[in-house]
Amino acid sequence: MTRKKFVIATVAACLAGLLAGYVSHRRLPSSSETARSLHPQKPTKRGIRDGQNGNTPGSVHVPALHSTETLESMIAKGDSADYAGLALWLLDAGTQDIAAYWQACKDGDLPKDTKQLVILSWARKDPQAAITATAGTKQDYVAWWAWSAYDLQAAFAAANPDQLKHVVRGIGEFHPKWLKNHFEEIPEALRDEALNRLMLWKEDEDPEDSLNFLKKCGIPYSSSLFRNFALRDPWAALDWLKRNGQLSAGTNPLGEWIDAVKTKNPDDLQRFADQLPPGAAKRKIEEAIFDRLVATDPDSALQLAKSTGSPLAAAQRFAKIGEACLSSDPEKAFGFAADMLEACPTRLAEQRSIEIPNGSSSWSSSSESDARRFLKSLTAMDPERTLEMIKTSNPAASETLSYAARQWSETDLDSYTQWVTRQTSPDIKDMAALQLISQLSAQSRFHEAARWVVSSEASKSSLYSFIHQWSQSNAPEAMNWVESADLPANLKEGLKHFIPADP
Amino acid sequence: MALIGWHLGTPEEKSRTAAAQPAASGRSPLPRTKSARIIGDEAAAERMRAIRNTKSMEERLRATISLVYALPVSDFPAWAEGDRFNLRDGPELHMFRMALFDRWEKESPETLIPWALENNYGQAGRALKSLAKNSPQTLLGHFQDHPDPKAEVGILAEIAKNHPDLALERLRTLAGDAALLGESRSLDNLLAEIAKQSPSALQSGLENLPPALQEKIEIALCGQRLAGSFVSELHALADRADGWKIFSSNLALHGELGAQILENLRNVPPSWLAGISNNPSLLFTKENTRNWLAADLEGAGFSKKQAARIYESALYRMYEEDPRFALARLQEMDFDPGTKNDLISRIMITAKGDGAKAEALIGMLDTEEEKQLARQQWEISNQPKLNAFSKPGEWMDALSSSTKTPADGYYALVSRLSTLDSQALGQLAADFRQLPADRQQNVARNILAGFSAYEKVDPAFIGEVLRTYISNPLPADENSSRLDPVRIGASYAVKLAVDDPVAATNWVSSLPEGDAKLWAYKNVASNWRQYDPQAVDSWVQTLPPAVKSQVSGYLAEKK
Repeated sequence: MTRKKFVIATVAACLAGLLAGYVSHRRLPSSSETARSLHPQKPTKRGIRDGQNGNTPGSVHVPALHSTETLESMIAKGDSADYAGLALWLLDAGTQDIAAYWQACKDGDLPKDTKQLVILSWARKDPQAAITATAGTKQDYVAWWAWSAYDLQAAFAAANPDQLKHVVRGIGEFHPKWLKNHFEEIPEALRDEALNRLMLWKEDEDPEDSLNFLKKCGIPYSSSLFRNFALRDPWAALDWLKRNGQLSAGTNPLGEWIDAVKTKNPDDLQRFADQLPPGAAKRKIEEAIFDRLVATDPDSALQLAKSTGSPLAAAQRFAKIGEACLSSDPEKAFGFAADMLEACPTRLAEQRSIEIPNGSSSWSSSSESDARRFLKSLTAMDPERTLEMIKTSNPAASETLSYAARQWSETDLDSYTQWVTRQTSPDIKDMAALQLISQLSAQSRFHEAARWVVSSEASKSSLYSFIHQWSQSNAPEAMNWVESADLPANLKEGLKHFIPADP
Repeated sequence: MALIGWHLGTPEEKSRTAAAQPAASGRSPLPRTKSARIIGDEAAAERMRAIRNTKSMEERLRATISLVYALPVSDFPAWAEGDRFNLRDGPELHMFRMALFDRWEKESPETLIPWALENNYGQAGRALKSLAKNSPQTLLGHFQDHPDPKAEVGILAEIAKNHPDLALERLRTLAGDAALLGESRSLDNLLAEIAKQSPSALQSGLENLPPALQEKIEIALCGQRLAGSFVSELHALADRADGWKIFSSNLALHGELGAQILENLRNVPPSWLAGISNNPSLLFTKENTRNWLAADLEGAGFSKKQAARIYESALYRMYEEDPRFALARLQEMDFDPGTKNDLISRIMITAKGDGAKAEALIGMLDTEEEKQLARQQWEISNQPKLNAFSKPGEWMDALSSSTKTPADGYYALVSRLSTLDSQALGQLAADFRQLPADRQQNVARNILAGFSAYEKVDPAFIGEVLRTYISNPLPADENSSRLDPVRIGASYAVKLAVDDPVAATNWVSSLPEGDAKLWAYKNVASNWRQYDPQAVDSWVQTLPPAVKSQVSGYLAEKK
């Protein structure tokens, strides 16, 4: 190709690139900044001008900008300099200007990120100068980190043990590929530094590969990398969770996955739910779909809640609908609360329970369920009404009543105490009194608590733990009370054994 | 839908389901529409290609900064998500993110705030701190339009650092919101900050606030008075019925109070000594722990047991920092053998890989028994930790050993099992099958010694190990039910049922006939029922008649 033909071809290619970029750009929301940047060579108020970049023909063209600032104008900006404007100027500035800028601004109020930018840019042109200039200052480690961005081998070889830590951090941040291939070359004590920096940003060219690498290094999961993975390829990300035992009830990764899919294309959630087998993943996705329905079509959400087969799942759905209207229409919300309690009157959280011939155990797998959160909101708004409503749905003492009683006693113990006093059902009064004793003890109001402890046979069941707690706080007082209490002699003796002579 | 649950377990159904599902590539057989986000992603990919195609780092950096200038503010959230700027090697990404957030904070804080609140860590967290300092009104305006007391309390604590009066004014408007009191730790931090910056303003108008908030404010103001004049405030509190409660609340908030207590031990009310010794970890800072160890606590009024609790806690706090000092102090004290041996073991781990240091520490011990224990612990600490780079044979040696305790315990060992890929686990399973029965029992016992850590390991491997153990369990142990095959079967089946009922029913049906299998069936049914009662009813109908009647009867009892 002759020189003339080459010039014509290059110009044509640039024009094609510019046009393609412009057309492509028009598909995005525009901004005055962007529009301005599309006029080549035009100086702007920002202290930048457009120039040419090395884009190949046919690619989207973002004109390469150049700074029109001078050393003096940059110094004059002080800590008000824009990060991008300074970055551009540092690209164009010579090392002497950078050194002069550093000298003028290093002791000022430049933000930490900006100081790092100066050193990061300086190290590209003259790492030794950056190291020398920052030696003995608070930024001396930054120059080693910065050098590793451009020449990790040289920085790695030159660093002393203290400096090496910062070189290794730079390797994790700037050279993930090298890190994955040379991990065992990094001193063992510094490997975590590199891995932490690998996880510093959400961005990654191959998040699945990075997640697998981290797993091999003993880090089973990285939230930010997984989110990136899920945004790019939700099916592959879901498979990864399953392969790695993370597709489990109560774990966060699935929530991250759902959030990523919602961000990208919320309509996809239904497609995923339709194709998954029953289990924790499908349930969680269906609940995310229900959340959207509550926000977009509450009537349909209500119909779905009413037709839900699982009482617990139905209660969670009524709770979501109720919570959504609690502040705008509390009466309506209390109506949904009644539906919730009717659907599932005794327990409002999932539970894992194991029962075998020699015993049983159970525990809630999600203590902060939607239904419990709703109950908490209702109790905060009108505690007495909430507790009475629970009693109406189930006249016996229940886990639900106990949960709401705890919320009330923690925020307004005096009103709660009055309510307990008014209870006539022994079953409920005993349960409520136990909560009262617990709260009074937590507030070190042991004498008041003691009156409730001896108020019924059921409350007396908490005597030993109560005395133990009291003696931990004030053993002599606990002993005095036991001695003066109207209790059988053998019980008193038993209780005294719970009070250490030497607490 | 209900029937799909267990029918998927059959091989035919599994293959049909697999065929219906897309490959792990994002390709789906179902039609889909492109969201605005996806359209934006395609344009972003073009822009990134342009940056990648530049010929030098300088051009790439220039193109990166030019891109930041070219992006409209409305695109910032999508670019901050992490899946667009896919040039990871080099400094370009660092500069891109820093420049993007700088523009975002300056040009559109009102759109940055909701995004940062959703992603409140790292760069987003720093942006919120910066806005709290520089644009507090913008933040408050956001919360007025989008009430979220939980998030706002945390942000107000940041605002209070530079604008205490503004934070207090907003707090007063939020005071009636019950959710505010639910954020106890954040609220305490906020009140402590306002008490520090503007105590008189915090004090005024107290009577109009809810009692629980008044109480917290009183604690915060007292914390400030303690910081200013510890002894006189201590005396004032000693005369109050709620004095210990207020003081102990401050102790939990302000680490530096531990040093003040130590300097003024004789002024502490005797009735508080038990409370102070009950939670001694609150007393220590890096600087004062040695001083607590050197103090004559019994002389200051603590009982012998109370003093021992404080000394013990102090030793646990500082032994890594100065193991020789800790060991010397430990030798002078009269701890129970269990605590003493535990501390000796921990101190020896600090000498990992350093024989000379280990010998020097061992030389400080008095008895041969202690020296032997110390040497043994040091040797354990030098065992290499197994990881994904280790050979399967090494894993199986560790898992099937009846004598070698892992250096960091079974929980850590079993947790690291979850870092092995399916190929390595497949090899491990093959090795497991070749083991004699007693070593297979060891594998199960050691895995179960890691508590719940096995739940994250591939069910294909764990399921086989537990099934083998249930077929050939160790003799019953009256003191521990952990190795009871019935309990193991039920627990693992329930874990699977919650996550994946199909896997659970398949695993249970693979168990040998007997009590373990029957109770696993029952527990799967009762736990699965809370999610999908119809599916459970259908599944029970497919069970063998004898099992069906027992499981049905069990479910009826539990209704």
